[in-house]
Amino acid sequence: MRRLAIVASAVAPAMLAAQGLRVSGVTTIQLVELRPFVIDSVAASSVPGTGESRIMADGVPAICPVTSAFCEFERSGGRVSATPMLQDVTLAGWGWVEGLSFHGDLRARTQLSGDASFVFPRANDHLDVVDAYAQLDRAAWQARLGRQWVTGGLGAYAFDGANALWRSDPLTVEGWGGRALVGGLLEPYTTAQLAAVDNLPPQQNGYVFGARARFRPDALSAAALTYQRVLVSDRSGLYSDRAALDGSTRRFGAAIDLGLTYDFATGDWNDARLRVGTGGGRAIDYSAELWHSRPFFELWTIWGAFSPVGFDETRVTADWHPRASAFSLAVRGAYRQYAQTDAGMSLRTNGWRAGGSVNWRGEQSLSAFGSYDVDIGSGAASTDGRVGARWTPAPEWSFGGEAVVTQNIYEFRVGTGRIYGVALDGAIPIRPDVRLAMDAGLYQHSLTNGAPGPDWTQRRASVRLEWMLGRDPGMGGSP
Amino acid sequence: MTPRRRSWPAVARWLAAAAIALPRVLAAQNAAGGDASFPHARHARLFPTCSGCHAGIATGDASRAFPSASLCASCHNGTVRPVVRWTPPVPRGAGLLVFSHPDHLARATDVTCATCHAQGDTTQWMDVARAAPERCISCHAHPASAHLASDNACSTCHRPLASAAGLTDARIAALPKPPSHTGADWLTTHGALARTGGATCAVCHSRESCQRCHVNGAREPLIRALATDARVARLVADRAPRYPTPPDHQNAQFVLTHGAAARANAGRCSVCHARPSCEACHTGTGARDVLRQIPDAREATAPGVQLRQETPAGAATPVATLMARLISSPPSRVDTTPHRVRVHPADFLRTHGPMAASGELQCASCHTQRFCSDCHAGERVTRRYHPANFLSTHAPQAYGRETDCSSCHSTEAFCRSCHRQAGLAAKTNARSTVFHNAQPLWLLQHGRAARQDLKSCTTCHQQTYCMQCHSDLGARINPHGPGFDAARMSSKNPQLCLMCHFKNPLGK
Repeated sequence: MRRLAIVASAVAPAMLAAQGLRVSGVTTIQLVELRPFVIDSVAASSVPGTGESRIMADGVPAICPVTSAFCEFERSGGRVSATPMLQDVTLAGWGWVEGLSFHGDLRARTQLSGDASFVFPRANDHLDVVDAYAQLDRAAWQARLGRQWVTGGLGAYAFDGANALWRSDPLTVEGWGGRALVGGLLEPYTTAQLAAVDNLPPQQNGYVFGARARFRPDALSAAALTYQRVLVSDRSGLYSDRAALDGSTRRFGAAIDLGLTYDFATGDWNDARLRVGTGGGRAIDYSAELWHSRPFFELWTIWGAFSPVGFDETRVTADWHPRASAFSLAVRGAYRQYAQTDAGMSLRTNGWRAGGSVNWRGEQSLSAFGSYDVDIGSGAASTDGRVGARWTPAPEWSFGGEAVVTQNIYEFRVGTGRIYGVALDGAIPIRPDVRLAMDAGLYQHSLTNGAPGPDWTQRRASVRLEWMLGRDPGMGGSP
Repeated sequence: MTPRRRSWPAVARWLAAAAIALPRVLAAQNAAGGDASFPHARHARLFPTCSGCHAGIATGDASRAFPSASLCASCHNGTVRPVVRWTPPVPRGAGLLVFSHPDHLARATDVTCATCHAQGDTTQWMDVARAAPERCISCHAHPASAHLASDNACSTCHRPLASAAGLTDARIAALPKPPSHTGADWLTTHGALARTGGATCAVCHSRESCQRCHVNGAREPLIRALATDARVARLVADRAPRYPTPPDHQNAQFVLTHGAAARANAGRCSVCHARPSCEACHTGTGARDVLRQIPDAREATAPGVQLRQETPAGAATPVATLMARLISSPPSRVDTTPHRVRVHPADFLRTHGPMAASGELQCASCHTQRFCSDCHAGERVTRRYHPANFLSTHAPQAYGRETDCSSCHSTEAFCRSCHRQAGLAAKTNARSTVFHNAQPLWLLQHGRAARQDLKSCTTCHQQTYCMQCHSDLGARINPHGPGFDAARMSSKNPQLCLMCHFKNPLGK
């Protein structure tokens, strides 16, 4: 709260003095259900077989320690639910000085009801400032101060600090620095949120420094080089030290995209992606992609020292979308091969994906789609089919429905299952500046192959209220 | 053989003749209640001169341009000849023609009324007709190849339509359409012609003619220079605008290149588009300098081509949010043929990284920073990325890194927290029966599984769980692979080594 008060007191006066102010909000309430695994026990004598690992009469695996008269097994517990609520408020103020604007995105969370044993992730982290910054934007440069994001080849990072950008076509140079926030968490490294789930959390905060140069000779080609490091606050080391090179061109009738990220701590390429495709405008577009992926871990964890390996994947796609046809069709396929691990016994070392989808769009308001995808790989596999339709009688109105059939196969854990589901969604305007959107679904889980517990039906739903107050900034010089 | 160019005296003679033989023409053009069909030919033997009835033509005296009805009655009195009902036409004001009979008579002496008003090439007395424009062109040294040719300088002979108060709605509607106006590319090429000959347009058009289609009718100087005209306003009120798609718009890369084109000439955009059309996508700040030059919805003088966001076919949930809707005006009153523009290629959600990072896509032109954080902040505010019930299907995608979970979610605070509550993750460091218990050889297999999918492991296991075996604190089983560069990693963070080793194994 104190942090919010500080931000609010810093931003509010300028907001009030601004020539324009817009406040918008999104209130989201979800219903989430699951049946957690719970450990139960049964007399060892009632479980057939001998040894520590046994299979019970109903096919469920059990562990029977030699020192115990009981075997432990997993079963599905009772249905638990949670109704997390998110309240986002976005503020934008502008005017006063040419190019000056103020932005704030605040997020409040809570869990309205549900079982004490199931708290939706981060529902107890009641307040966050997603961003709150002042921006001065001029023709040749831009400056930002406050909590903000930098997005680029290394991903999306939030930090509390300053960012300066200078542009002189075709070159743009940008630099940033400040207190680093944990990716996807909006908290400093020493946050209790990490300590709650890891007993070796970072002990010190981090400070991020980065720079980027972008070269954009024309509208069809661009390249960017990004460097960023996160220092431990006592300067005893780094949490990360990375660089990225990205390039894209749409020249010569082709679409070519290149993305590389490099981790100086391990000397590994985390991501190397080259995608070559047709440049669009044809009835059929093709693409081929070579992708090397190796996971990246920050240096406050030991995981990077465990020598994780990557895989190399080749992916091809074809997308048929003639302009005059209401139908479009896409097919895709990929094959990946993991690098040598030098560890453990034989496991699957490859994987593949294949799928297709067909879309139909009526003249104005009706559309329908269907898709089927297969994903076979190390760890888990699935097949997934979906069909659905949407009716959009007006831009702000929307009604849709979807049916889905999914089969999950898990290599590293018990049970497989099929899921049959239907879902409906809709969005309606209540007033010109208020819209209500909602969706609800029922998913029948059919468990097989020794998966614990009976079949059950999962309910999912969400309600979203979007509202806006204040002026429409338009684009005539507003923020 | 070359056509003989007529001399000015000849022109004058023609015009003088026209002035004298005008009655039937003017009657037809300006009749308002009067008999417009005086049978000149039947009176050929009665009247020896034109000026007997039309004395005012030569002098400019409108009151004497036509004879009075009483003059007819001197014969058509029911005794000599049957009574007729004819009244002279009442002049209704100026027509389109810029023409002065007295001036022509004063400057040309070798023309007669018949020079202009004779019916065709006839020489029969009083066989008259309205003077055709070709007659004017035949005398005047004129560059135009034909009366309605596009290279004609109409204003030489015609006044602007708005000044031609005498024309009725019907007469305006019946104005002939020049052949150039019927060409397939007329709508896309007429602008250049208008710039070189704006006065020509004004002969047949008023501001309303242009503002029927032109969104920027209130800004475009050429259109503003035209006068308004209530008659034209009535005529175009129910005529739908037409918006052909320019050839460059059909280029596959136009989505990427239209920004440069707009910066070079925003006025061209604003012929068909008002600002809300741009703002259907441009909700960011990057395009504001151009958008300032585009008229807003209140200023737009025509429906224009309205762009709006559309949920892609196949998307499970609508893309448009309230924010996008609010900045868009309602669809045009008169929708033209829908033309769908694919802004981002298929599979863009998965592949947008390099395009966005390189700067090829000017993301800030259409999106605020909030758009990125809506997903990358790790919580669903609007369902845009994951399909419905993704929770039940996310495992294969996470293992195969089809979606990079950690790009948006904290592996620890989000994934591990939930996996714990679902009973999937070990709650303590003690070995439990959970999860891998169907794998009798799991302990021997897990090394390969971990190196292949270590991210997945960390969504359940804490570091200390693995350190039970893989550290000086535990069984001291070396987790480092063959290529492990301890010195490099230690140089980046020496404290990292000490998490598992009692002392730095590199001796630092």
